[in-house]
Amino acid sequence: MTIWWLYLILGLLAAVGIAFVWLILKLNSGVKAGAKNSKDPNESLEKAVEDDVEHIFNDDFREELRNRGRLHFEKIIGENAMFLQQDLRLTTSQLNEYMKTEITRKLQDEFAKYEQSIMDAKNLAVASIQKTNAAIDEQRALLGQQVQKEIVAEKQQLVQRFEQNMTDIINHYVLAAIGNQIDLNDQLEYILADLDTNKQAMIEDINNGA
Amino acid sequence: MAPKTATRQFVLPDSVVGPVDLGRLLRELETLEDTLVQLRLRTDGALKLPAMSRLLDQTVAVNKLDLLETADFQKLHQFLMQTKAHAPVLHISFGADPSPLFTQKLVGWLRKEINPLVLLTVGLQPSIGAGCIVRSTNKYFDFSLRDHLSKNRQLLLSKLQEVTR
Repeated sequence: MTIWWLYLILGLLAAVGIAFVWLILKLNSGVKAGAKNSKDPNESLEKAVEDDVEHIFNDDFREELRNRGRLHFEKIIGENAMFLQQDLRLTTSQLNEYMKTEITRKLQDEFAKYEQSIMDAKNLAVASIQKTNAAIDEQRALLGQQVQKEIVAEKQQLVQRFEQNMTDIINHYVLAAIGNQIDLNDQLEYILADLDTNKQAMIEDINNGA
Repeated sequence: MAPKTATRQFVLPDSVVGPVDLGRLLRELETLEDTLVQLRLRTDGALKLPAMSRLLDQTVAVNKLDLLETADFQKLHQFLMQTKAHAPVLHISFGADPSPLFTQKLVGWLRKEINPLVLLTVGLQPSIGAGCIVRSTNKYFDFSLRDHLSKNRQLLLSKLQEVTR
């Protein structure tokens, strides 16, 4: 947009310059046309007018006009240059502002994207850590259950082993404690009672035995 | 297997416990037979039985036999032979070595209640503690204290559980 303003100002300056040149040329052509018509009756008058004009607009005056025109042109050129400079400064400032805004916006977009990426990565990492934690908790629970199960099994095995061998232990204890005190004669009554209980089975086995 | 009907009238004294005693009786009887043959050859008058062991004495007394009579002698010999061959044998193990009196009482009960010709072999198993283990031809009877404790293990466990609660 600023570039177009620059083009427009340059165009106006060029148009003003062309118009000034065209005005100078027009004035010269009018002077020349008056010189050609000097033979009319009014030619002398015109001649006199022309002379007066020549007298008024002599070379010095023309030079003065030229100088004034030159100065005015330079003034206009200077003003336009000043305007151009102001426009350029304005354009530069706007361009800087625009660039600043654009860069800021771009940077904000990029930062937003970067932040979004970081957030996504963070969420991903958090989700991964949560999954890992869940898996670890699950493994820990499973391991705990397994250890508990093994402890219970070992305990049951120990109890079972104790129960299985308890008879032998007590028997060994009884034998060690009172084994020498038990007389077979004292046991005869009980032995005969046991034999009597199984008498029929023994009779059948003897009668049917090989 | 029971002996034949012809020898049913014979009985064994309680002092004759097992096959070893029976074999000893048979050997003594054979020796006695040789002695009697020699005595008959040497003497013309009345014969007198030589001294016999206590086992043979009791056997002869229980069966009311006269060994000078050849028929009685032969019957006893035949009875002993058949008994040795066919008599049922029970094997009983004890925790300690039983006395002869104890063994005779036991054999008396067995011959009265189980079979009149049953023979007994005695074994020794100190691990059974009290009681005995009887092994017949095909069966096994455990009357030991160890087996009694094993059978009442649940009772012991319940008592232990009552204490540990």
